[in-house]
Amino acid sequence: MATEIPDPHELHTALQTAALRCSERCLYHSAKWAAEMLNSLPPLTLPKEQLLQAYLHPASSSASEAQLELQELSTFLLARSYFDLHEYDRCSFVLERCRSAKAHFLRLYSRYIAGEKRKDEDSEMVLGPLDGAVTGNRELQGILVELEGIFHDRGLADLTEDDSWLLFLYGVVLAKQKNEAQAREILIKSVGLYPYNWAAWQELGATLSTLADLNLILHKLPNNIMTNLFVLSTNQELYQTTDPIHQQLTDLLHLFPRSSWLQTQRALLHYHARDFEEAETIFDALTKSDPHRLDALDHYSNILYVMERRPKLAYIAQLASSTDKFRPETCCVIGNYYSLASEHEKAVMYFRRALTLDRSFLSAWTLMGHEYVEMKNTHAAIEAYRRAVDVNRKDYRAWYGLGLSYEVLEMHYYALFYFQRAAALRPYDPSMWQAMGNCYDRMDRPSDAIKAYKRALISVSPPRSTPISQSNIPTSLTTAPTAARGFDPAIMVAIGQMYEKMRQPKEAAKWMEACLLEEETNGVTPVSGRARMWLARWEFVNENWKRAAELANELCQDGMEVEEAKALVRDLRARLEGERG
Amino acid sequence: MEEFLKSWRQDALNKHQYDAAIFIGDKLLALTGDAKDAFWLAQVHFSTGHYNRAQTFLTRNDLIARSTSCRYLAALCLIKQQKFDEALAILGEKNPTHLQNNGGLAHRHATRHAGTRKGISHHRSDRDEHGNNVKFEAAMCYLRGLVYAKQNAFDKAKECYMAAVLIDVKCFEAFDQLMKNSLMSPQEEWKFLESLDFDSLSSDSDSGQEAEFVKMLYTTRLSKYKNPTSFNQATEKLSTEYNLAQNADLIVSKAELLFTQCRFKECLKECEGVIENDQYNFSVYPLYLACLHELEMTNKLFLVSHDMADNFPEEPVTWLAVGVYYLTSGKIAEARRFFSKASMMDPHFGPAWIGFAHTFAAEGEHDQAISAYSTAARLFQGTHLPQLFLGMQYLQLNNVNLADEYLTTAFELCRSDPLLLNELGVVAYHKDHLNEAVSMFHRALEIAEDIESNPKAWVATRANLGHALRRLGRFDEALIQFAAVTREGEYADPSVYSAIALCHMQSGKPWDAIISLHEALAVSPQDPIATELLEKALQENASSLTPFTTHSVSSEGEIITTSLDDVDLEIKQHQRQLRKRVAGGSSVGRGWSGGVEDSSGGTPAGRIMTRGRLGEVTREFGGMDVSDDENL
Repeated sequence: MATEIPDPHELHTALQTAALRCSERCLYHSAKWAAEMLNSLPPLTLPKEQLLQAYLHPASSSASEAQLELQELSTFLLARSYFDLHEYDRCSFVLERCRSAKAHFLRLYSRYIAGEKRKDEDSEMVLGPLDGAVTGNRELQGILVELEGIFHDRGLADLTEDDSWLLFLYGVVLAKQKNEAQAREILIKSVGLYPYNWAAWQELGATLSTLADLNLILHKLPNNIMTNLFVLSTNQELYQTTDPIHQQLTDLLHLFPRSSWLQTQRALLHYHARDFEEAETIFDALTKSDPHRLDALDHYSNILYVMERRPKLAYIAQLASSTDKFRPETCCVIGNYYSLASEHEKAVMYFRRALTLDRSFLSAWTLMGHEYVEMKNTHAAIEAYRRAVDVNRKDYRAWYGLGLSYEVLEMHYYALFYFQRAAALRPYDPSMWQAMGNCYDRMDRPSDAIKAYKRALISVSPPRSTPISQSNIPTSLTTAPTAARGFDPAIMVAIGQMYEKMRQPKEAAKWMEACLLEEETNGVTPVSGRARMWLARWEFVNENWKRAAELANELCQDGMEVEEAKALVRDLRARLEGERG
Repeated sequence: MEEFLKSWRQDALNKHQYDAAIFIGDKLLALTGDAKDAFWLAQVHFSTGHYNRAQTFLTRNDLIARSTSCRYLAALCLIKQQKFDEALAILGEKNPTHLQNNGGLAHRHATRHAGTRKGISHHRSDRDEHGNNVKFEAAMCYLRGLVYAKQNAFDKAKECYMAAVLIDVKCFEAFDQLMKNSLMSPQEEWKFLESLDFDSLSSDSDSGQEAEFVKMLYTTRLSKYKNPTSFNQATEKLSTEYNLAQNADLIVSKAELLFTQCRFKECLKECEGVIENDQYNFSVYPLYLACLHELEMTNKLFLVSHDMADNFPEEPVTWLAVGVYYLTSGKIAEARRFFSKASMMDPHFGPAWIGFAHTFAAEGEHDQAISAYSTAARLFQGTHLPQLFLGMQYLQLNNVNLADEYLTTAFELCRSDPLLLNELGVVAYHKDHLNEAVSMFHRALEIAEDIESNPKAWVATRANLGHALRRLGRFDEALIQFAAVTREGEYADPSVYSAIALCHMQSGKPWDAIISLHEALAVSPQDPIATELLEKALQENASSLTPFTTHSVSSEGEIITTSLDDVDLEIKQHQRQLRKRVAGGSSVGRGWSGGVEDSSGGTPAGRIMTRGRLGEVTREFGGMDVSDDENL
C-alpha cells in the first residue's frame, strides 16, 4: 500500500496552528478536535531553537491581511472577550468597522450564534407548538446577504486561506436554508483552501446522504490527511462496516496512535455491524483512559442498553453525571438507563432535557421516539423521529421507527417511504426489506412485495433466533452475528404466499419447495414446517396423493403442525381407500 | 412725512406688532389714499388673522377691480373663510393661458438670438412692469386650483396648478401641491418639468446657473418611480456644488428614493439623520413611520408616537404615527380609529387614507377596503397606488376582470412599479395567459434590478414566476427560480416547497417530491396542500422501482450498486448451488423439481453484482487518481 505518511513535523505544526486558529475564531469544538488529534500523535522531539512566535498568534499568510489583523488586534481582542462571555450581539457590533477577513468572520459568526441563541429561546418547550422549523434563525438572511455581497464582489476564483472561514460560514447558512447542493460546493471550496477546520468537514458530511453523494465529491477534495479522516468518518456514518474501512482506520491509527476519536470510530463501526462486545471493549478502554470524557457516551449507553447490561449502564450514568449533569450526552445516558428500567416517563424527561440543552442532539430525538413508541404515543413518536431525521438524514433507526409508527397508524404509503429511506442507508439489512415487503403486501401489491422480499433474501442471512426484545425497534433488533449464508425460510414462505395471492400457485409451490431445500443449511424450523404443510395441501388439491402423504408424514415426524398434519393424513387415507374401493 | 410713516409701519410689521402697524397704516392711507397703502393695510389685517376684516376692507375700497394683488388677497381671505364659491367668483374661472410659458419660450428665443441691447432691455422692462402682475396671476391660478381641490374637482385643480407653475416657475406652492398630492403620473411629471421655463430665472450675466439650480431642486421632488439616474445626478450636484448635502429636504427625497427601492434599512438611517437635526420636521415622518412599519420596529414606533402625541396633538402626522403603531402591533381596530382621526384633521392627508384602507384590507373586509381605496384614488389621481390596491382587493375577491381593469388603469399611470407588474402577472396567471404572466414577472424582476431594489423584496414575484413556469411545464427553469426563492426568502415558506414538489412530481420524480414535501410539512405540519400532494407522491413512489437500487461498500472496498436483476441472479445462483449440494448426495431425498424459474442459461459464477469501481472508500494516503466508471 502506497502510504505516503505526511511528515510528522509538518502535521504537528499544522494541527497546532489549526487548534489556535479555530479557538481564535471561537470555533471551540473544532479547536478541541484539532488539539485532541494533535495530542494523539506520537511524541516529537522538537528542535529547540524553534520557539515559534507564530504558534501563539498564527497570523495570516498574506502580508496585507496580517497587517490589517495587526491594526485591528485590540478591537478583535475586545470582541473575542465579549464572545467568550456570550455577549454575541455586542461582539458583532464592536467588529462593525473591521476589515480583515478574520474580523469579518467573527462578526458574522457571532451574529449567527446570537440568532441561534434567540431561536432556541423562542422555540420554548421541546416539541411545543413553536419548536421546529416554525421558529428559525432570523439572522440567517442578513448574514447571507453580506456573504453573498463579499463573494459576489470578489468572485469565487482566487480566494485564500483566510476566506475559507467565511466560506465555511456561507456553507453553514446555505445548508440551514436547505440549499444543500450549493452548500456542498461552498464547503468543498472551504476545506480545499484550509483543510484543518474540522467543523467545515462535519458540515460537509451533513450534506451527504448517500454513498453515491460521497463518491461524487471525492475527486474534489484536497489531497490531505484530513480527507482520509473525513472519508472514514463519513463511511462510518453511512454504516459501511466492511474490512477495507477497518483497514483504513488501522492505517490512520498508526499515524494517530492515541486518538480517542479514531477509537470511537472503530467502536461505532463495530456497533453498526452489531458486534456489540467489541464495541463495548473499546468504549471500556476509552472510559478508563479518560474518565471524564463525555463525547459519544450516548452511543456507549446504547450499546449497553442493547446488551442489557443494566449495572454497567448505571455506573456509566453515575460517572457521567458526576462529570457534568448538563451535557446532552449525560442526559441521554441517564435516559437510556431509565428506559432499560422500564421507567419510560422518566426516560422521556431526560431526553427532553438533553434536547433543551441542544436541539440538534440526534441521539436524544431518536431515543425519545423509541420511548414514545413504548408508551404507545405514536404521534409523539413520529414527531420525535421526524426531528431526528431533520437533524441528520443518516439515522436509519429514526427512518425505520417512522416506518413502524406509520404502520401502526395503518398509513402504509407513508410507512413504505420511510422503510425505503432506511433501506437505502442499510441495504444489507434484511429487516428493512422485510418491513417493506410487509408494507407492499398490506397495500395489495404482491408483485412489489416479492421484489422487496427477494432483496431481504439476498441480504445477510437472518439470526438463528430472533430475540423478541422490548420493542421491535432496530436498536434492539438482533444481536446475532452474521451467520452462515443461507436464505431465511420465513421470507421464502412469504414470497410463496405472495404468489398465491397473485393466483400463481405453481410459482408459489416452487418457493415453498425452495424453502424446504433451505433446511439443508438451516435445519427444520417451524417456518419450514409451515411450508411443508402448504405443499402437502397443494399436492392434495392436485390429487398427487402419494407426495402429499409423504409430506404429511414428514410433518408428523418432525413434530411440526402435528394436528393438522394428522388430519390431512387421515383424509388422505380415506381418499386412497375410497379410490381403491 | 409719508416716508417716515412708511418706515414706521414697516418697522412695526417686522416686529410683528400688528396693532401699531394697523394704526400707522390707517393714518398713512388717510394721507395718501393710495391703493398700495390700502393693500398694505389689508395685508396687516390678514396677518392678524382677521380675514373677514381684511376682505371687507378690500371690497369697501373697491380695490379688487383696480389691482391684481388686491384681488389675490381678497380671494385668499375668502378661502381662509371657507367661502370657496365667492373666492372663485373673484378669481374668475379661466386661467390666463396667454401668459404661459410658450410666451416665455418666444422670449428666450428672442433674447438668445437677438442678443442685442434692445432685446435685453425689452426683456427687462417686461419683467419690471408686468413681472409683479404676472406673479400675482400665477398665484391666483394657484388659488383657483386650491378652490377646485376643496370642491373635489381635481382635474381642474391640477390644470390650475400647472398653469400657475407654467406662468411663474417660482410658484412653488402650486408645484408642491402637484407633487404632494401626486396629481400627475410619473410620466406627466417629467414631461411637465421639461416644459417649465427655468431660463426666465437666470439673469443674463451668469450662464443659467439659477435655472439649473431650481430645476435640480424641483427634480428632487418628482416621483421616484422613474429616472433614478437623473434624480441621482441632481442630488449629487446639489450636495457637492451647492453644499446642500445636509439639507433636510434633499435627504428626505433621497430617503424616498431608497424607500421605493425597498431598501428600508438605509432609508431609515437617512430619516433618522434628518430627525436628529430637526426633531419635528413633519415632512419626513410619513416616510419614517413607513420604514419603521416595514422593519416591524414596534418598540420604536411606540416611543415615537408617544413623543409626538405629547408635543403635537394638533398635527395629523401625530395620529398617523399612533395608527401605524397599532397597525404594526396588529391591533387593527385601534389603528383604524387613529387613521380616521388623522384624515379628519386633514382630509388631504394621503398616508392616513391609505392606512385607513389598509386596516380594512388587513381584516379581510374587502368591500370597505375598496370604498376607502376608492376615496384615496379620487384624492390622489396621479399616483397609481390606490388603483393598484383596488386591483389587489379585487384579486383577493377573485374578481379577476375588475382587478385587471384597475391594474391596467394603474399601469397607465405608472409603468415602472415592479409591484404593479407583479400583480398584472398574477392576473394574467389567473386568466391562464401563462406566457404573458411569465413575461410580466420577468419584467418586474428586471425593473426591480434596474432601480437597484433590494432583491429580497421581490421573492414573491420570483415565486410567482416559478409557478407560471411550472404551469407551462418548464420545470427546470421553475426549479431554478424556486431555489432562488428558498435562498432569498426570509422565512421558510411551505408553499414554495410544495411547488418544488409539484415540479418534481410532474417531471416524474416522486422521491424528490416527497423530500421537498417533508420540508413543507416541517414548517407547517397541517398544510392541506402539502399533505394532499404527499399522499399522491407516496402513491406514485410505491409504484416506482428506483428504491430497489442501492449502494454499499463491498468487502473489497468497492461501491456496489445492487439492482433488481442482481437480486434474481443471486437467488438463482444460491439455489443452483444448494440443489447441487442436495443432488450431490446428501440425505434428504425429497424429490424436488423445477425450482425457481431457471430459464436463463447459466451465468458465469463469480461476480454477480454490477459495480462501479471506486476504490476511494479505501483510498490510500496520497493516492489521488480516481476513475469513476472503470468497469470491472
